[in-house]
Amino acid sequence: MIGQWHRRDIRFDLALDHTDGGVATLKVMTPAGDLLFMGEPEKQGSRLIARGVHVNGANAAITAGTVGAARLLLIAQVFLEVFDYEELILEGALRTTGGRPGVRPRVMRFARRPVSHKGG
Amino acid sequence: MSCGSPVALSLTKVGDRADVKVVFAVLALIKRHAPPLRAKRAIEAVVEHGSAVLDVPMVEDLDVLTAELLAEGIAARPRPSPEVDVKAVRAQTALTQEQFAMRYRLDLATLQGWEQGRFQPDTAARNYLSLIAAHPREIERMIWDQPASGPNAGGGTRLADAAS
Repeated sequence: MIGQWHRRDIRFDLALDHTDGGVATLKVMTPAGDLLFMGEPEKQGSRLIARGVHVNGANAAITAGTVGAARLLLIAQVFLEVFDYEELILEGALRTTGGRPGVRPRVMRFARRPVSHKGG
Repeated sequence: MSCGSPVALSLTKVGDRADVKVVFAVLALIKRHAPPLRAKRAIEAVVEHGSAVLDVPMVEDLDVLTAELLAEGIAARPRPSPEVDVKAVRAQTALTQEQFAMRYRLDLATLQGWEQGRFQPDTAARNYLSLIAAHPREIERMIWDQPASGPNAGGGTRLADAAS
């Protein structure tokens, strides 16, 4: 059972980047294990839109429900901070794993918030 | 991946498995030099429509790739494509390389590369060359007798013929 995640727990690795081919793959290291996000990014000023986003866990420990809305929000906040964007829009592709396979998730918008110094 | 051969793959979903790991399947294809967006689209097509076809430029070991994709929920099998002897196809038309390239709108350097074995035609090119071998006149007509869209349409001068 993984407890609460903190900002300092989230790290990114763009080693798998294929942005020049229209696709970016971002490894997100979390307390539960590594997550791989793959999407088609488009930069619009300080906003990043990622279309056709897929997320897969890199190990069996990451199951449906490991990343809920709150943790996704935390990952998005750290992403905005690290990569210096003001807004992130995720347009998910048809789900193939996790909760509700076959469902296309709604568009998610994340705006950068000032860093809170409590909780890390 | 630094060496391997091009393979045209027919991709389908494994049984009724819902849990296709798209990211890993796409990465397995990118590792073999498949264009990233094309690889992503192919795997998404498998998920949404059940099947797709993709040319993978550099497959070092088909069994290894097949096993990798199978682990991610994708069944892959090589798609047979016609073997083509490019030089023989051209010889059959009695055209020089320049004439053949111009008549069938091919890039001359590419044609020369194929004939000298410096590189292989991909699946689409092999299919095209097979059609030329089987129906040289019809293909020529289809290429040059385009539907009229202007006063001179379809009546262009064939440089290849002018040179012959």
